[in-house]
Amino acid sequence: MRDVGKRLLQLIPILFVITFLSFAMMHLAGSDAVEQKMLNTGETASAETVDRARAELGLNLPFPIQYGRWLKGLVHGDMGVSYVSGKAVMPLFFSKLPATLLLTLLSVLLTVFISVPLGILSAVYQNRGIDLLIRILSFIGNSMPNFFTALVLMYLLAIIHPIFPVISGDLSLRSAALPSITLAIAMSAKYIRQMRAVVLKELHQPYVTGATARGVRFSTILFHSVLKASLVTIFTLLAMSIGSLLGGTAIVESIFMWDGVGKMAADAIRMRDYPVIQAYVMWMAVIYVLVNLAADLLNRLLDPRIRLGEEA
Amino acid sequence: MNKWNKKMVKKLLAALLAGGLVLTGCGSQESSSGNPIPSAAGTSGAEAASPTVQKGEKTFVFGDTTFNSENEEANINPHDTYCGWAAIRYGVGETLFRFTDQMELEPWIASGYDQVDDKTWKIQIKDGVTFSNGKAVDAAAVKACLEDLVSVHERAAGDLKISSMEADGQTLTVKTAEQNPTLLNYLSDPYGCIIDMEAGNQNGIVIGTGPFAAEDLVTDDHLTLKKNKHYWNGEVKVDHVKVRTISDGDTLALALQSGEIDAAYGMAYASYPLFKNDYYAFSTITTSRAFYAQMNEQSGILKDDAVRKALAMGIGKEDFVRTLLRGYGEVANGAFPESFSFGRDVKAEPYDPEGAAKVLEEDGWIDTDGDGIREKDGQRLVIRWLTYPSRQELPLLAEASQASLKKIGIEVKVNVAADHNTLVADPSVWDVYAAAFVTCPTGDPLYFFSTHCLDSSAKNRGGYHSDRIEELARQMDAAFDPKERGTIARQMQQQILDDHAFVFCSFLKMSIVRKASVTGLDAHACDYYELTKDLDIEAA
Amino acid sequence: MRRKKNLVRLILTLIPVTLFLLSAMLAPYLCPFDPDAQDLASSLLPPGGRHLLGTDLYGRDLFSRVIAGGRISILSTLVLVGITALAGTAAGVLSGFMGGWIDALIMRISDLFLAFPGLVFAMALAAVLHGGVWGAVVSLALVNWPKYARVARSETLTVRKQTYIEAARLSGDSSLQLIFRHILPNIAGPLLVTATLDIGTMMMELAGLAFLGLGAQPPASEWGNMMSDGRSLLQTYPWIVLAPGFAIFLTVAAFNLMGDALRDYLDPTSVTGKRRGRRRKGRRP
Repeated sequence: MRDVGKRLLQLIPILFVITFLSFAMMHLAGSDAVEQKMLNTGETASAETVDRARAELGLNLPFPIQYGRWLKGLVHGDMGVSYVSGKAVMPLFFSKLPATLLLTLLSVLLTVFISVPLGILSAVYQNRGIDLLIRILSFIGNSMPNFFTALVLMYLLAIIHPIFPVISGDLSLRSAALPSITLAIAMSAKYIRQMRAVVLKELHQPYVTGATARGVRFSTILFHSVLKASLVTIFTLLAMSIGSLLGGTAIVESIFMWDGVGKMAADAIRMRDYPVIQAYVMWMAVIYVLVNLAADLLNRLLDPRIRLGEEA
Repeated sequence: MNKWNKKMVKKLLAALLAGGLVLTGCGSQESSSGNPIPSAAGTSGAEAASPTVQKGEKTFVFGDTTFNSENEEANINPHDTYCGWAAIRYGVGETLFRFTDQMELEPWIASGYDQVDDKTWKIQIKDGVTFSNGKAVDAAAVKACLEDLVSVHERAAGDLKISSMEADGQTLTVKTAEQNPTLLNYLSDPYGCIIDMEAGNQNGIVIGTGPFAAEDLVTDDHLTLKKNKHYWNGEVKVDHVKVRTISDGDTLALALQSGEIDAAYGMAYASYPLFKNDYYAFSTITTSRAFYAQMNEQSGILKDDAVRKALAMGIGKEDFVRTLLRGYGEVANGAFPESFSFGRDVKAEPYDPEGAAKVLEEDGWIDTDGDGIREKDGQRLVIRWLTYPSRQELPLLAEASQASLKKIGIEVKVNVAADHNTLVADPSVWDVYAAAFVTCPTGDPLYFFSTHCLDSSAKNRGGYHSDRIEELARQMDAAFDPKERGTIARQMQQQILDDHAFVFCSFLKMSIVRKASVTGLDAHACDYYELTKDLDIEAA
Repeated sequence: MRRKKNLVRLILTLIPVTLFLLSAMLAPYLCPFDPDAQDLASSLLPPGGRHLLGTDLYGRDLFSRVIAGGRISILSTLVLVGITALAGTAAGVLSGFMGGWIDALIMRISDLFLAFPGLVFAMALAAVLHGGVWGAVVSLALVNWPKYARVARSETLTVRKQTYIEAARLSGDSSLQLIFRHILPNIAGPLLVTATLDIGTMMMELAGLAFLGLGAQPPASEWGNMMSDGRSLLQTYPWIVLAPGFAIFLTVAAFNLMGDALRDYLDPTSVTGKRRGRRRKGRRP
């Protein structure tokens, strides 16, 4: 438990450095919300108007001072107001969170349901027809950019066969189906391969040969020993994926008009909406630390060997 | 591996299939059905998901790429940045006057006006106009609205130059601080949308006089509207409207195909062929959004008038419009489309590659080393073409020009940069800047010149200067008669074309794509009006 | 026996990879048409005839563009994976070998980069480098090196415990000699495998950034960019998207197959289980 507290404390310096870094990055990126908005509306404002708009947002100040101001607000629990929509960042961010959480949950579940059985199948039937087929499928999944998968799925499952809607109307399973499948395809493609490799490795362990020789049923070996041993790998991988999914998936969320954190981040980055970007960056740091912590705890639970090692 | 239990595999496979079927099974059989586009469009696809009709009431769903906070349309309060566009487009509010498709003014909430003197206007408000809450609109209500507008909306205050207003029954007297020939034009800008100030503004929702009243608004996601039962200008045919923000053009097209939306605004040209069939209809009109190339007069190579002239003659506008814009554009001569009165009778250099080659040759630009690119005094004829990606037409224009100019021995180096605004400020890094601009948003022809061609213009990026243009601008500033302003506008266009300061390539043809069952939804030249009382949707 | 079979397999999988690399290098000589030459009169021609894979909206020959695009795509992906792996390995080996505060420092820095969203890097670098594929490459490298650092570190820790390292140290080898003679050769395998398998992922990441307007921009004929550019034509002129898509598929498959073969060759645990045994020993203090 002491360990957990320590890990959580580490979050503070990470947050500090990362938010500063992102401020610096944005400064480096040039342009700002005022300019981006003018660009979108085609407005021809005078230099004075632009300067005034910048001054109102504090964009005319040197960036360390801007950062200081933001930090001061944060300490007082104020994350500022979006430069673009004029809404308070904190409630805005929390209003986007449920959508991303739902998408994360669904796509991870789908991924597990697809990749675990397929990975096992592929390993057990190594180098036979079904293995080949699964591997080819995984190569295809691995070589389709997200936006392409999304379009193909929309075409197949919303137009040719109108089962799911193209755009999400609400936070329902039906709405979430296409974006989750899109994400699950890309992730499964990767995990099938990992799963296959892990199971293959386990299958060639001496204990498997031994058990087979003793006449233990293969399915028992597979489910009791091999799968259990593979869990560590699966959980580690999933932890990483969950981390990046919780940060929202800019492309998939944008395409499906899924009103989540990733779309918010992509929009904010394009518009140079600093306060919103900061909220996003902080969220990413928090989930990174939490997910790693969770993964470590889980690993210790599942694989007692690690406790002895120095890598823990 | 031979000891492998076959039963187990089967179980595993079955479980897998059961799970996978839901996800993938449905797509597989379709490949045999041949060309899927019409079938998808009309039959099961459209209706299964159609939200059109519920218990005798008509619901219309509109997909729009532009309704978002990035375009400064976070809500529908016209006194907030560009939100008036949403208020007008979605039929929540109306302005005193409105634009015809020739960009001439006609009365809307107002019934007419008198110009008392250079600075005084008397505007008559129609009798019987009401807000959607039933309250009658009189001069006092309009005055309260406009007073709030000029006090909180900087751009409006600058355009209108109103110094004082007086309300008397249905007559509103407006005094301007200086003479303002375009007062009525600017009152017809979306920010001039008349709203009920007493009703206030709940979360960006205002009460206007339009055929629809707003119910619910989620920034960057949707706006729901209901029929205005008190509408002053006739019966409204549709009961409920949902405006969906869909930022991705392909998603928009797919949502229309699947029937989730009934009409779409802002679709990519590439998707148009999908809707060229009996199940859909287009409403298309030429707008004053111009795609133009602005010359950098400070650049060494473009100081040479012959080079600028050759550029004007060598850019294949026709090919660009016909092939790359798929005909959804109008080849431009001057700064305004020919459908506008001041857009006619302007002569630009015609497309003439041989002529352009001759012009260059006579000026001493000759391809001496045989690489296809001309040189003069050891300098290769290379043009740095700066443009940006956010308008889908601009990269197309850059590539089309690159190809057509190569034929006359000019090499074009294209830089499609998202941060073009920073780059364009440095005249040493570009020669030609290609951009998109609505040259005549409020029917005022001076607007383009005052923003682009004068010494004081913010967008005079190439440092163009002409004494005659400065003089003509002063003349137009003082001219009230629309005919006279039109004549001056034509002279100004001719001057900048003769100076080869700009090449106007094309105007955007704006399209609204709708299901065939939708009627009364038309595109307008000013791009302000979309949903009206005439909007209707047939029960499927 | 098995090892020999694996070697044959490795060599077999090297053939397509070599072909792709060759076509990337020789792209200018292989294109039947100028990949950037427009011919608006022959816009959107279907595959077949003079244009093997058809033409795009601008009437450019797709086959030539796919080949020319391979040059940019394969090159940028290889550079990306290369610098990511090299930088990550250097940091990881240093971390694992030196231990102590250097280790702690490097690991904390890698934490920062892992926790920092790549999109923000991509945005900043796209602006600084004026768009283009290299901004995307650098930003992806920045967020991905820690992965290699972690692998390299843990492998180094394992190797460092081996008796022959102690022996070498006692016989007077300097740290640098130890790293280059003993540690790097021993940890290269797993890293190389990770890198090969990463190629597909990185190609996708580059395509994604292109889609968001933060990667390669038109008119560059980079595969991901070609797909993103042509996506609106998927229903009407599918070959424009499918041609680069299929090229990506073939490349990713080729590199992945090679990665698998490489792993089996370098790490034939499947037969002997020796390596695993050694590792376990290594973990015990």
